[in-house]
Amino acid sequence: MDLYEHQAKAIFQQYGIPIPRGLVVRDESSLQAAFDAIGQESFGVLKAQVLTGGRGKAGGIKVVDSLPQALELLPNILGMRIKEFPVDSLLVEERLHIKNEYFMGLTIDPEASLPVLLLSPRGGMDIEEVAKDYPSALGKYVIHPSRGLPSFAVMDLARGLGFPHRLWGALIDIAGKLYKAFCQEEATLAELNPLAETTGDSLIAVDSRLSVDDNALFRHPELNELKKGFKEMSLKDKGLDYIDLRTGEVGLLCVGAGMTMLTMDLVAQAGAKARCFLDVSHGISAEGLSTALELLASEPGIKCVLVNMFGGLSRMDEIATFMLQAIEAMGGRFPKPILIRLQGTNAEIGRRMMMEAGYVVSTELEELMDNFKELLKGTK
Amino acid sequence: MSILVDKNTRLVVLGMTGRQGSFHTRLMREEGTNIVAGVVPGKGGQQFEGIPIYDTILQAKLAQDANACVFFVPASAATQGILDAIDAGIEVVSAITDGIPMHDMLLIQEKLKGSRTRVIGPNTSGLITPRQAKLGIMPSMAYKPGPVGVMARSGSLSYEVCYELSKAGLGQSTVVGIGGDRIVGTTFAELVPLFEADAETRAIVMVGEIGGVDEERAALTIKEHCSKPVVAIIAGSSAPPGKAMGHAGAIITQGKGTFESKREALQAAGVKVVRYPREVVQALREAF
Repeated sequence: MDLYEHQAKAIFQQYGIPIPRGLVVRDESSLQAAFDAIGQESFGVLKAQVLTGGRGKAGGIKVVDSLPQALELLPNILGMRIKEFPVDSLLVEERLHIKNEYFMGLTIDPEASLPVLLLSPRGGMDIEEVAKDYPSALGKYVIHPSRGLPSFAVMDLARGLGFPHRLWGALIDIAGKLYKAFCQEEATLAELNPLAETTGDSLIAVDSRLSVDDNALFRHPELNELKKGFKEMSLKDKGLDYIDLRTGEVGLLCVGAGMTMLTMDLVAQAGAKARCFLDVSHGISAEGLSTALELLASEPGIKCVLVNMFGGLSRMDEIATFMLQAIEAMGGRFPKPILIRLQGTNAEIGRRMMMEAGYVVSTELEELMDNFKELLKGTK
Repeated sequence: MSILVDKNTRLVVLGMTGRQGSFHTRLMREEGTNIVAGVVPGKGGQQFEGIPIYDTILQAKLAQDANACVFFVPASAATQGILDAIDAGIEVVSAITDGIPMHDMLLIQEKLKGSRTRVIGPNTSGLITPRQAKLGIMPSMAYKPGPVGVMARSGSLSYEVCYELSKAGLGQSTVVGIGGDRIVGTTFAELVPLFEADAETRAIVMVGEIGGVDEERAALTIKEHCSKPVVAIIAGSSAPPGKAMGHAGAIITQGKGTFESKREALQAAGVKVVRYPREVVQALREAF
């Protein structure tokens, strides 16, 4: 689960990582409160809260001098969409005098399958390009969890990357705190970028990101609270892995990520485009399937639906039962063209049930795709 | 021959009396698997369809000379179970359980170093040597004994591929699902030498997908250590670029993980790369 900037910062602050003073703003009165908290002198920076990168370049960050100026900009930012993500809140922070921008991050190194600390003296918006074009400006240290993150490793990185000596202590301190947060919050990503040097040799996390492991949420009730309001997470509670691709017209309902991707590839090969990923592997229940089918039925971008399942753990007779129950509750008929393929455990029973209810059902993948191509011809 | 499991495997089923555990115990037995014990804490001394139940893995191992485990327990209990299996010296652990926290896997991974245990998964459909041993949840109808070693990240996609292979008369020596999580006990690269050393395996099929760098890592191993023909199917070639949030992920993978990156790495290692299950059959026919 990806957290919003303000949520990440609140957590990092608990670990003693310095962050700018600020408040979350959703309307005029909370903007007034933020202004009062920050004070005229350092007011202020307005930052749109969205779960995507490229926010600065999209105009989602504004520096202002006064409350009236902020009030004037507020409705514009709140109405914005950044890469299709609507903005419904801002983080309003103090303005800082930044001398230098650095990068510090922790994630899992896919080669070593171990945590890795990343550090660069060239932080900011273009860090990915820096890492690609100037690999020597990026330092890495792979961490063995039983050993932890030793200070000497951070110092070695800082020295090798040319960080001024006066910052080494602060870098070691913040890296240690970031690693502690990474472990205790069971993060998959923890990132401070830019980690800025302000006047007075101190470092402060001007922007930050935190993604936590969905699988560990069961033992983090406070993070579990935060996830309310994330559409993809509340579906996950019902066992559905849902990814809205935001373009395309075909809704996919499959079991397993690999099968969902294969179906997406086959849809593309047939000359159409998938609109969403819906993997129900963990939601084989009446509730899971009815939520899935209702979503596919109601999402206006979806013109037709492909159901492609090869069950191992999931039994196809159960799938058919739940699907028919869900459709019954929706008024007895699925409102869009729907093609179904069921294979694997108890598939024969499942297919018979769906066929008796009047649906087009296939046994083989080729058969499903042939039916799909026919359907495409009809709609064009 | 086969890899990792065969008719001599002596299997313990964790969570044997649960809903999934009992259902799949029967199906694994039907495939010919030698199930010697179940482990359900608190039910030690009972039986399930004639199979003795023990409280702990160590007890089951000592009493029944067990050498393999399959997990049908929830994520909250699986980490402890896997650590117990390592301590008991179990050789093969098939961790079907989905949802094991990543930081638990970091711990398990350290514990595995220097142990005699190999963990397959977690979040896997398991592994099967058709008609000899099944330590998983895959639908048996999709498999037949034969000369093709299969290793897969996605369970459902491997069913599809094996089903196509079996229909075409290309049976499998052993099929291993490595699991879909970010950190897995056994990677593609670690399976390649096992298939290479197995006399019955005449060709290898890798069922991969976009994301991660496991296919790229395996490409290096294949190039250096594999004399057998390898065909790879990679799902997700039509996926739009991911909506990754932070920079750290992108920096650390440096453009790896895409379909193009995987195809390039694998082709450089002499692997035939395809997109759809039926093409796997054609490619294997050409290789044989």
